[in-house]
Amino acid sequence: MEPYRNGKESIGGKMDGAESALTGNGNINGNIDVNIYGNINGNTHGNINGRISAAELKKYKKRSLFAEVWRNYKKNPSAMIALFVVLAIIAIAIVSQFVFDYKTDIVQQNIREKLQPPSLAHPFGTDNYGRDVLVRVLYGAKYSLSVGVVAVIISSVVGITLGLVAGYYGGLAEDLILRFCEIFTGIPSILMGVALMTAFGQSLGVLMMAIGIVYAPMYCRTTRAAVLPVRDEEYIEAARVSGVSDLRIMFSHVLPNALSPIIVQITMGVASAILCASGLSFLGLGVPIPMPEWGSMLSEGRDFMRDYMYLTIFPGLAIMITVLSFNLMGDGLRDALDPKLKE
Amino acid sequence: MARYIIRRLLLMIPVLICVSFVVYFLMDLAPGDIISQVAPADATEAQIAMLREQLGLNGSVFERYARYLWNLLHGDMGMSLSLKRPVIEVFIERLPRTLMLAFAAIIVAILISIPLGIAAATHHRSWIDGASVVLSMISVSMPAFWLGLLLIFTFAYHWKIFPSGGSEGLIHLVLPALTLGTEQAGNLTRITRSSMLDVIRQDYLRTARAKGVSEKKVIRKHALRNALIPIITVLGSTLGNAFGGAVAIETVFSWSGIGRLTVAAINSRDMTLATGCIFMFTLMLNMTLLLVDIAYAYVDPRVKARYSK
Repeated sequence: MEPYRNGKESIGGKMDGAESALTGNGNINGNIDVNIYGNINGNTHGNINGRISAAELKKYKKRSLFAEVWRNYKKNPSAMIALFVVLAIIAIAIVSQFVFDYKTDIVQQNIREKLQPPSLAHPFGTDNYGRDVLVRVLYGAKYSLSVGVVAVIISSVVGITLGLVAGYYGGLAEDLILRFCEIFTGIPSILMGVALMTAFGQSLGVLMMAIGIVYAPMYCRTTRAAVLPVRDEEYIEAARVSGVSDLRIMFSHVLPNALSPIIVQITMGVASAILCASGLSFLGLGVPIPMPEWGSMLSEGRDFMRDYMYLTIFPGLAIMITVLSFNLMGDGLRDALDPKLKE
Repeated sequence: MARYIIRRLLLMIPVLICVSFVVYFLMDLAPGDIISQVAPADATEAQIAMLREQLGLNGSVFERYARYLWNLLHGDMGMSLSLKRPVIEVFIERLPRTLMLAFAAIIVAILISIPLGIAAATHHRSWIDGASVVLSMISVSMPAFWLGLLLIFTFAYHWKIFPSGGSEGLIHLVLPALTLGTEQAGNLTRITRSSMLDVIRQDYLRTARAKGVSEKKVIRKHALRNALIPIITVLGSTLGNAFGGAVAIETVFSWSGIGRLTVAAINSRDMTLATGCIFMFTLMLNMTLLLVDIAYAYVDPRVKARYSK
């Protein structure tokens, strides 16, 4: 077993060399800031390790964070499958916009063909208005994905900024921001979502905003927790002493070094945002009908569940597969970003 | 410790007040007015204005909120306009149902996840470990209301073992508790597994084995007891999640608890009832989290020492 393992490792090593050569450019850019202020530190480390194996050190130094993470991520089969599924869903969401026409294929009623069980012509059957469920599920990928992604962008922009400020400055700012977050985390997210949707009306944009607001405190907490250990590092102090502005320190010195847990949170955040959106749609407060959002398709199918179960099975499966893939990707990223954490 | 608890309780007050304001304000922004449901259809403008004043619905949103808050601080949560009964009375009437559902769900979650997590950790990298990882991943990725629908279809429509909805007796509790419990079990299994894996590698377990303690006893007495600490913390947030999850599950199973009550209140623009319900929900959630922290200090003296600093 052992020799085989070693062999495998060395092959991996060679491939990495090639890879790091390819990504060399990105690497230099990413590290410039740290190198300027971390000079003294870096050199002492370098000398100690350098005596052991200068070539090896060079190899590690050349590899960018992205290449390193990708190398680890590739080793995780379930995470790779999840990545392909997510890419496939994205492709479906884009292609279906061109293949299907919203008016004739998605919302137009065709009563003569209503409630047909799955068949060759309609693999997922037809709903109570005679619309093809498969076509609607494929087209619906757009809604879940866009809600998930935009909501996460909103909550991460708000949450990461607040978390950075809280973690970097500490003191009163930190107290105020954390209390503010508590207001939102104290309310069950689905109820907060219901209240926001009721207040601002049902539409895709409001849904994205509502979910973005509901989850922002989570990003704030994650960022703050990740910033705390970085805040007191010497290279941050060095940057401050050399007169770099607080804003610049926060975004180009603190944030890049606290990024790992935030990236994981963002990936898994897409999953929870999609789940939350489908929950709101299920309660009748998400995307307005007749848009084929998976949650509202489920909610419509519920009335015919006793005899036409397929109406609820397929949209539910679509939600589950999408959410599962994002969760698995998040898991894989967590292991790839910090191999130490892996049991 | 007492100081810590008092501090936490005091900090809860501003949070709760802000929550009530946010909800009250959002409800005010919502289109539609409860007055149209309360007033008779042929009421004149003047009559509606008078009714508005009687019900305390006159003035700007800030004036109304100030009145609401003043009464709230005096323990009066106001009248529900859609049900024409005091909010607190309606809430207390519905509360036991949600508590029952949440606790039953927690029991289901514990019964699934603790044995599964322990088995996964003690048989690390075996098929049961793999199965536990896959199952917990699926459970956190599945929309709970969808699982509820699948269970209704299987056990209520197909096999006719359990009723599909209603909240009369224990038999109605089975499917909703199973649904909510399964949703929460995924996370709990993961935590149990990783916590047990941590503990299993500790030196004191090796010592216990070396001095000849049976494997069963090692796991139960030495490993599980120490692994329980992180599990208890997660259990608290699981209970919190169960309160939130109850909102959708109660709707699926027509279980008349406070989750469904709150959604109905929001939909009928019943401001006092909606604000009151969400206020109480938040209070319950925060109290649960505080109780968990206290329990945490109780089982782990290291944490207690940190609190009393």
